[in-house]
Amino acid sequence: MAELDKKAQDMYRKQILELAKNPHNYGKLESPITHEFKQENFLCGDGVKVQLNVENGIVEDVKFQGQGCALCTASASLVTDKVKKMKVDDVKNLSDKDILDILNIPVTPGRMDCAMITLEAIKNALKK
Amino acid sequence: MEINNQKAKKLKKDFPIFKYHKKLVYLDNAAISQRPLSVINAVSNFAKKENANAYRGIYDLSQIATKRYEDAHKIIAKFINAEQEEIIFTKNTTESLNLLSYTLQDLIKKGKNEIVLTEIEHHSNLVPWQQLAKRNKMKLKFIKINSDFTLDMQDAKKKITNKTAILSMVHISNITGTIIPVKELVKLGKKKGAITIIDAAQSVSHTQVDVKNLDCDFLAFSSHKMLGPTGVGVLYGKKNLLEKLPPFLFGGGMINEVSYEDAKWAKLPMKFEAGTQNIGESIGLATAMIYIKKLGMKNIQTYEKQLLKYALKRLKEIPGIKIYNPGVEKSASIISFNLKRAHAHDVASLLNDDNIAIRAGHHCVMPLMKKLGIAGTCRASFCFYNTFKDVDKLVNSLKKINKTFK
Repeated sequence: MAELDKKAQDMYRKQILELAKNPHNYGKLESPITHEFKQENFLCGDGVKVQLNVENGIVEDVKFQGQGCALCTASASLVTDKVKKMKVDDVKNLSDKDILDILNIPVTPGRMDCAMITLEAIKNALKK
Repeated sequence: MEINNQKAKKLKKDFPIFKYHKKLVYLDNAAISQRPLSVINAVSNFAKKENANAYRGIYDLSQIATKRYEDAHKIIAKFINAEQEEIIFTKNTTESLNLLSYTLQDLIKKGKNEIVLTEIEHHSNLVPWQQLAKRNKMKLKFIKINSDFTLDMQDAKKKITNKTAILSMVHISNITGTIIPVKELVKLGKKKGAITIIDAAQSVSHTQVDVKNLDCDFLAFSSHKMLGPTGVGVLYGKKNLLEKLPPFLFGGGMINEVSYEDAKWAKLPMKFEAGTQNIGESIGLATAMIYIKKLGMKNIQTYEKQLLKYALKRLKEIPGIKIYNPGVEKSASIISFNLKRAHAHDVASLLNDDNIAIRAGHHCVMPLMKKLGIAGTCRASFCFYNTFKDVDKLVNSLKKINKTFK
């Protein structure tokens, strides 16, 4: 299986490790919270909580909390960066491939959930 | 026959998986153990040469299948020092424990309404009891785990009381490898008139499990953690108690006589084995036991202790590592750990680059993880086919990962 030939070490590039250590948009949202959701990650036992401030159909601000692996934390950083100032409808249309493009690393099959959990959390928050 | 590092290396040759994955360092034996060729052949030979339903035909093939299936009960009974009719085939430990949680109501003595478990139970020995407690308005109690991951026996004495209806506990923890003093606990439970149950999923292939010696009422384990195929588990129960329990599943094979209105149950163990069973796989489990017996449980235990001792010593070399294991004397074959800066998932992914298979996550013991204040751990679990070199590879790889995450 070609998918299984991917090397995990390629996932842990400097940028990913740096983001895992110093994540963007980490913490509690101070501005009005219009949407929030905690997405559990059943595999590793922790989850990601996202809080958003949506005004006039635009994501004005977003923060995340939670204890996660490097991949999950780095992905949460980049995904929250990405959705800021985006239209809610456009956020809802983001795909796994979009996230992989932002991450720009080969995610091994067993770790896709870690990479996608924040987008899932945001989409679930916006459903409410 | 004594097992040492050299012998373990040779034993690996009995397991075809290592032929197909020459570099594999397999340290996830607590999840599923690899199968020796003899087990694989037993299952495949039954399919190729003897496939027929047991107890259902008077032609030769069916009678051979019946004989093989009954012999499997016999071999398994002997392995844990039980009687043949005390061995009930299920799908796995989880199903065995569920079966009990749905049927043992009538065994509960009057005035008793508490279920006592330990804080270190796998979800399979927790969730069925939570549900029973909810259905019957019973109270759940948990015997505490000490900070060194051993069981707090003083707390056990406090929690096991005249109100204890059911005492169910794990024999060897799938997280820390802690050996729980189940014999002592069974004694405490019996004194108070409780039904005593042991989850032996992690112990039955790593230590001698003798149900007469343990004196427990029931004991559950799985085939796939003891060199056998998946889809087969065992529930042992004392004959007089199993006779009192109602069946769990109803249908073919478990009846003696059926009219349109009613039915009478078959004798043990058939009463609990409704429908066509995993005949070939059951024979596979019996074959796994024959393999283990040939090696000798004492030899396995002695070697696995040496391996554990070596692994604990070497893992401690890694700066900042946190080890969740009570030490070589109080545990068996399983070590959980976390690196200081790398999440368990990241560690498992990077170990995989070096062909090292471990488990990372909550290991189906979420309440304990919460108590320890962690999301998960990395877990290395050993079998007698693991070598000291496997441990070295694990440690070297972990040292490398530690550098990546410095």
